[in-house]
Parts: sequence; C-alpha cells; structure tokens
Amino acid sequence: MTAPSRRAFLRGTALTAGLAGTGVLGSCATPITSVGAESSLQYWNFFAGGDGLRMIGLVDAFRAEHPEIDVTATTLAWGSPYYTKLAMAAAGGRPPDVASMHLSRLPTFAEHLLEPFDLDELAELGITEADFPAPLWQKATVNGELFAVPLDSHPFVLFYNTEICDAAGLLGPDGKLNPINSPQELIEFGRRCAEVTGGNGIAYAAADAFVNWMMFWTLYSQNGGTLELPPGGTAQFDREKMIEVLTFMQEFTDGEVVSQTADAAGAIAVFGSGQAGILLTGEWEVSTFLTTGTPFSMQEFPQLYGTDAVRGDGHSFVLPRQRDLDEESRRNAYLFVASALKNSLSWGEGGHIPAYGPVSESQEYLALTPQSNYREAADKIAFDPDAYFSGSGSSLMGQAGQILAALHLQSITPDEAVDQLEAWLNKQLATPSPV
Amino acid sequence: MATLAPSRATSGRRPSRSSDPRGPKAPLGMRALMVTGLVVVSLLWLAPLLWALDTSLKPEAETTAVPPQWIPESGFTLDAYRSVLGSDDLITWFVNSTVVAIAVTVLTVTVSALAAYGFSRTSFRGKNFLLALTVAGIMVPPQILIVPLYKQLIVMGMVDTYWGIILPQLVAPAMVFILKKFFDGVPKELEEAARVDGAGTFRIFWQIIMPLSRSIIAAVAIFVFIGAWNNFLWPLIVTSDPNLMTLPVGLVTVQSTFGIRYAQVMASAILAGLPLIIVFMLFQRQIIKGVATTGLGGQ
Amino acid sequence: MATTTTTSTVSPGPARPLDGRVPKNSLTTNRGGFWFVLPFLVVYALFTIIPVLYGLGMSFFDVSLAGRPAQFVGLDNYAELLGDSQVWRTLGHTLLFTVMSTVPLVLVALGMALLVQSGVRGQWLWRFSFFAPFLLPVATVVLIWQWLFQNDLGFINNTLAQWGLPTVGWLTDPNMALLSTVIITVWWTVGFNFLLYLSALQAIPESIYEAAAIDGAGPFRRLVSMTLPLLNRTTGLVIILQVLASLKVFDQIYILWAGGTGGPEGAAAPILQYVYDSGFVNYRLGYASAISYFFFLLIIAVSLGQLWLTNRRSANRKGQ
Repeated sequence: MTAPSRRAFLRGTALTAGLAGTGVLGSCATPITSVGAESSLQYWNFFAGGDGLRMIGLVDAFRAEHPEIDVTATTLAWGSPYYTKLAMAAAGGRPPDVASMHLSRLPTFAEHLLEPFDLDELAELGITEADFPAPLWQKATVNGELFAVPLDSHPFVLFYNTEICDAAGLLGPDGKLNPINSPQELIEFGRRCAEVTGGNGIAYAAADAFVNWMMFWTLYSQNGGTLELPPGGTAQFDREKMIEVLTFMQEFTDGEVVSQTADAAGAIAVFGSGQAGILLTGEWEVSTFLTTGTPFSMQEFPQLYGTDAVRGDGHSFVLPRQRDLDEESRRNAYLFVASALKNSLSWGEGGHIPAYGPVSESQEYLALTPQSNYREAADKIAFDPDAYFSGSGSSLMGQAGQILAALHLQSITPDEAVDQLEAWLNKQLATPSPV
Repeated sequence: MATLAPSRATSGRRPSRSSDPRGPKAPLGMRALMVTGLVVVSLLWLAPLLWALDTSLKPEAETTAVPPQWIPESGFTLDAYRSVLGSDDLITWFVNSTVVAIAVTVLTVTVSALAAYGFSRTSFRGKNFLLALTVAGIMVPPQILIVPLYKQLIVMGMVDTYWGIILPQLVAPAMVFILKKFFDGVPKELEEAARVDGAGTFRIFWQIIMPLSRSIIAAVAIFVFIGAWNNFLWPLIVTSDPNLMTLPVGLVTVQSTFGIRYAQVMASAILAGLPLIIVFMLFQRQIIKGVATTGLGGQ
Repeated sequence: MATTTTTSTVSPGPARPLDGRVPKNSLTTNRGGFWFVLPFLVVYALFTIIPVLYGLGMSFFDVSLAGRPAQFVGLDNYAELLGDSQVWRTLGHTLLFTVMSTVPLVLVALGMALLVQSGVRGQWLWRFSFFAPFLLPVATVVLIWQWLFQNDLGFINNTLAQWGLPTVGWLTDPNMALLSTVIITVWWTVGFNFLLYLSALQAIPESIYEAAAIDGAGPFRRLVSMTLPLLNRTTGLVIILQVLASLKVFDQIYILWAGGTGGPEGAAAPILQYVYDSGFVNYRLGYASAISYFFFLLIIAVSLGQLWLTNRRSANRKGQ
C-alpha cells in the first residue's frame, strides 16, 4: 500500500511543480517512474487471463533477480488496440523500454519504430541464434538485423478427449491418437467421435475469425500454397490449391459432426464438458482444460496435405525507438529479456512452446505433458503472409475470418470466398501502404 | 446531506410555485399522471446507477447470480473498492484527472475572460478581424483536429506529457464569445469611475469587471470543468503511457490481468463518476444554472 | 441581456477637465487591449489554426504513422475516399445515429422538463436523476451499460428472461448495435437538453398563463397553444446543438466495443472511428486527415445553420 500511494503522490507533486514552472513545455512533465538512484524499466504487454498471470510471474522473477530495478509492467487490450497504442507511443518518442509483440506484426514496426538488438550484448547474456528454431529467428530478423527476441511459438494444435477417442477406437496401444493423414480421415475421426458423444464429433469455432484463419492458413500451407502481397500490385496465390482447401473446409463443417456456427467460447465449452472428442484451436487453451479436469491430451495439428506445416505465430520482445535513449533502461531491457527467456519453463506450462533452446530442450520441459507433445511444431511454423495489414489480430485476419465464417455457414461457395478474399486483398494493396 | 435537504427543498419548489398556475388548477387525475410519469422516468434513469452501485458492493462470486439479486446472500462488502483502491493505477489516474481538469479550467477561464474583455471593452487594430476569427473557431470541432494535432505534438515533443493533454483543451472560442456578450452588458459608468480614480485597464478588469461577472465566470468554469473531467478522445490520442492517462482513458485502455471482475469494474466506474456527482449534490442549483446559461450560448 | 444599452448617452461625456487626464483614456478606447487577447490568440493559433492548416496540408501527403517519409500525392487521398465504401458506410452510420438519437434526445428532454416544471414535489430528486448521468465520464457510462447489456449475465436480458421474453443481443447483434448506442446516449446526455428546456420554461412569465387561465383554457390547451410555441426557438437551438453533438459520436462506440471494431461486423462504426482507424490503427495519417476534412464540411454546414439561428434569436430579442 505504501509504494503505490507514494508514487502517486510523487507524481502529483512533480506535476504541480511542472505546472508552476514555465520553461520547456515538453520536459517538465515526464512521468516519475524512477525515483532517486533506482533504475527503471517500463514493459508493455497484451497478456490477459492465464498468460497474464504467468507473465506477472516472469516479471516478478525478474524483480527478485534485480531488486534494484523498478519495473512497471502494463497490460493493454490484445490486438489492434495494443498495436495502435504501441505505434503511437513509438511515434511520439516516449514508448516503453521493452514491449511484447507478435512476430507476424514485426515487419510493419521494424522499419521506423523499433531499434535492432545488439547481438554481442545478447550473446553476453547467453542468447545466440543457435538457441532458437530457425523459422522464429528468421522471422525476427528484418533487413539483416534482429529486431525481436522470440519468447515462444504458438501453433494451431489438436486437442483430443482421451476417453471419447478411446471409446471410438481411435487410440493406439500407446494411448495416443492414431495418425490422421488426409482431410477425409479427419472427417472420419470426427464421425467416429460423434457416434460416441451422440452429438458433436469435433469442436471447432467456425465463426471465430482467429480459429478459422488458423485452420485455413494451416491447410493452405500444407497444400503447398503461398500468398504474396506486393504493395501496389495484386495478390499472388494458387487459386486451385486454395479452392481445394476451402472445399474441404466447407465439407468439414457439416452442421452435425462439426458445428457451422460455434464461436470460440462455445467450442471450448463443448470440448471442456466432454461433448466432443476433438478440438481444433490454439495451444493456449491447455490451461482451461487442466482446470476443468477434462480427460484430454494434445498433439501437433495432423499433416493432411503434402507439406508439413502449421499456422503459428510467436510472441517476442522488442525495443521501441526512443527519442531520448536512457542507456540504463536499455540495458535493463536486455536483462529482462534474458531473464524472461531463461525462466520460460513456466511460460511453457501455458501451452506456448518456449523459443529458447536451453528451456525447450530441458528435461523439465520434456516432462511437461501434454504441453511438450507438439514441441516439434516450432520448426514448421507457417507465419501469416507479409503485409502491414496482416498478422495476429490484424484486419486481414478479421476480414478473412468473416469470409471463412460465411463459407462454413454454406452461404457462399469456395469460388466466391476466393473472389471476395482476392478483391479485398487487392483493394488493400492498391491503397498506398503506410510502411 | 440531511441538514442541507430542507433548504434545498424550499428553494427547489420556488420556481415551480411561480409558474404554478397550471399546478393547483390541474385536475387531480392529471396530477396523478404527472407524478406517476416522474416516478417512472426517474426510476428508469436511476436504475442503471443503482445497479452499478449494487454490483460494486457485492462479493465477486455473487455478481453473476442468475436471476439477478439486489441483495447478495452473504451481505454487502467493500472488497471491490478495497482491491480497486489498492492498485497503483487508479490513484495515479485520479490524480492525473484532477490536476488536468483543474489546470484546464483555471487556464481556460483566465485566457477566455482576458480575451473576452479585450474584445468587449478595448479597441486595437485588427480587433474585428480577430473577433471574427474567434467566432469562426466555434465551428471547428476538436475531433477533426486529432490527426494533425497529434502529429504536431510529436514535433513539439509534447506527446505523453501533461502539457500535451492540457494545452489543446484551452481553446474555447465559444466561452470567449459568451463572456464577451456578458461583458458587453456591464454598465460602463463603473469603469469610468474607476478610470477617474486612476485605475489601469488591467485593474479595471480585475477589480471591477471580474467581481461583477462572478456568476457567468462560475457558469463557464463549471461547464469547462465538466468537459475536461470527462474528456476522452484527446487524452486517448495523446497519452500512451499509462502513468499519464486520465481516469476515463486509463479505465478502458489498461487491462486487469485477472479477467473481468464485475464488482471491481463497477467499483472503478463509480469511483470515476463519484466526484462530479458529489459536487452536483452539493451545488445542484448553481450547476444547473451554469450549464443552462452556458449551454444556450450565454442567453 | 436587457442591460446592453443605457450608458451610451453618458459615455461620450466631453471631458473630465477636473483631474486633467489625457483624453486618450476615453472609455471606448481602453489601452492595451491587444495584450488581453494575446494569450488566447496564442493557444488558439497553436492548437486550432495551425492544426487546421497543417491537417489540410497533410491531406495532400501520404503521411504515415509508421515513420516512412511522406510524399506529396495531390488529390489522391480525396479521390480515394470518394470511392471508399467504408467512408460512406461509416458516414451512413453517423447520420443514422444522428437522426435516431436527436429525436428522443429532444422529445424526452422536453417531456422531462414539462413534468418537472409542473411543480410536483421532490424537484431536487427529479433534477438529480435526470441530469446526474450527464456528469459521468463516458468510460463510466459505457462500463455500466456493458454490464447491463451483457448477454447471459446482464441485468436487462436476465429480467427479460424472467418475464418470459426473448433476450436481445444488445452488443452482439449487428442489427441492435446502433440502437444500443442510442439508448446509452439518450440515458447519458438527455439531462443537458432537459436543463436547457427547463430554464427556457422558467423564463416564461407566469402572467401569460394567468391570462390564459382567466380565458378558461385548459392545461392541455395551454401546453399546445402557448408553452410549445414559446419554446420554438429553444427547440431549434437544442436540435442544432444535438445534431452537432451526435454527428461527432465516437467515444461511447469506441469503448463499447473495446477500442476498434465499431460493433459486431462494424455495424455501428461512425466516421470518426474510421478517421481513427485509418490514421492510428492502419497508420495512414494523411488519408485520415482527408476524411477529417470531408467530415468537417458537413459540420460547417450544420454550424452555419446554428449561427444563423442564434443570430436570428438575438435579433428578435433586440426587436422586442
């Protein structure tokens, strides 16, 4: 209780002093974050719920390691509100010292709003390229410089209810789900589960833009499809492969074995209460089912087409560009990043695959099941296409999600879905890019 | 409250009696209808506030009871307020809001009153042009300026500073106009007498005009304060640093890590609204008069 | 305002030879006037005039929040916005909201004022309940209504369910989004218009009613044939102020749907939200400026109407 009121008081006093004085307008009203000789660190993130609690754990661990550093951790709303505020703060010149960022959002920011990491300084703290899965490090590198240090990768995965799948005869002698090797097999697995539950076979949030986009991008990538989005040009993609995938997705949500309208909360509730044998969603739901006590396990999203890939993204740390760089705070940011990576076993408990090799290869992590079952997905991550309007929580995800929801509802054909997506993409590409 | 109520009740009834001819003579049925109307509409208008207050006083677990209960089974509690006030953020935002609103009010009233006096009672070259320019400013909604103003404040190094929040809110051409109209109506003999006594222009303004204008100044100050305390868009744009946010912006921007807790959300919402509500309870007549005069452009 | 004149005959008093002051101290020419106006002019220039011009300039460049250097693009931004369906869609929402909110905000306010003015006891309470919401910060208002409107646990849907009525997707149904915004806005701001009406009602001299009462006019007749016509000018002013306020809707919608979506499928997104989205979410500050100016034109048109009405009002006053 004393700390907050003291800080609030000091802030108030400083403000009054600032108002009373005249002089330089800008400088007199800097917020008080460091008092006296303490050095400080401002950290922004967007983690709520279980991730939020685990992130607080990481911050607290850092505080314990470095009691001399006054850490202020701020949580803003996930998605575009967060990235809007972060961009505005960086453009305004007084951003936080370190911030969380999805790797898929990095290209837009890296150009003008972030500072690259100093590889030597990272190496001193025991962080080198060799410690990370190649796709993550590549994605974190822009124009040959490292702009983000990956904390995790978080792929689309498959949850299964062990009791239901066992009753449906879908488990092997090792208790694991039998391999699913084609789209039709996935549908068949769903049918078998539905026979056991008497209702849904597979829980899947067809109406949720995040989930249906993960599904689409996974399948399209597995089918060997690519999507190029050159600014000023037109979207380049493989129409045939896309149609093939969309046709399957539409067939998949038949309205009986798989709902056509479930939203995210609905799909989770259905699986959590044992009304579906399989759930397709992001790995971060693992905490939910550990809490509900659902008998379940997890695995990588199966390879249904020719290429082994899965839609994923990575959380990372970045250094927003400062108008007046405080060397000490910058140094603290490096220390914090290193500390978070090294303590990321607890982060992995929440389902995310730790990016840092010494953690993801440790015995403790390997012993962590079902969270480590799908760790190999980290090497197969298919990131969202590169464009300023793409990435987690972006307008591409929102727009494509609406089209895919309509597709699942059977209200548009795969052809129409492709046309709509193409038209929207081309419109975005035709409007001048801000990057 | 109890001690203040009687005097206010009488003062409140006075205007009604003065225009009462409809009152006593209205048929009984009509009166009953009016009372019913008033009670129903008041309840409708108070219910959201009461429900918010009620929720904020419940234990968290009972906020989501279905069907909703006004009285929680385990009794009322101040837990939500305790945890909300225990957080660093809310207190910071409260301080920010208070300081910003007071600074905006004091500075706006000062700057506007000076300008209004200049426009009303002095003459200088270009006065008419500048007055016209000021009146034209009434038509410029601050909302359309957010983009250029934000960019401009980046250049000025004022993004994420208190001055950045305060200064753009000082421009109130409508208030200048209202004050000017009032000053225009102040008899000139008073000034003349003071001038004979050797008072300078500023002294006349400060010692003659300002005391005479207390009511309109109060009205303008009330209006400006309400606007500044509740302003949302500009502080949202100009602050990204949670330590600098005002209450309305902080409340909706910064997330609680612990998910939605309705009792706590309602407790912070109520705390953010409480100061003006209390002030209104104490000074209802003044505030109503102030808002009504200012709202109608000083008529 | 009745005091406006009266002194003009005295003021040009030829001279005050007694104290031998220099005549330039004459009353109409107080010295140093410019210095009084200067502080206001400085803030006005810095935070209104310059941004107005700067914004106009920006609208001809592709200024980016992401920091890429800006280039002159001529009228491209304006050409683009005319063909941008989202501009028209959000403008449509804005205009629809303005109509949907102005009507109840004027009528309910008038009804409240007439009820309160009727003199029923408990004036303090009536005024408090109608005006108090106006004093709440928009964040408080929206947080309260989000909770009331909550789909499964909210007070309103639960009450509807208890009465055996179907529940409503207040915040989740695209068809409800604007209506929910209107309900919140009416609850929040009607108190302001109520006060304007109340003070106009109180300004009506009671002698008028007394005369009518002698003529035997019933209360309803008096309302329709006397009170309402006397309120005409107030109503005109209230409508214009309300239209201007409603056109600028942004805050409650931004907060209601957590900072960005503008409602389910963007069904309530107003044009200011599109300015915000274009400029700050999608980093296109230049384009956002162009949309702002497009919107500004509309506001100016309505404002000119307001000025005209205000002037006519004071002209009439002087005529009386």
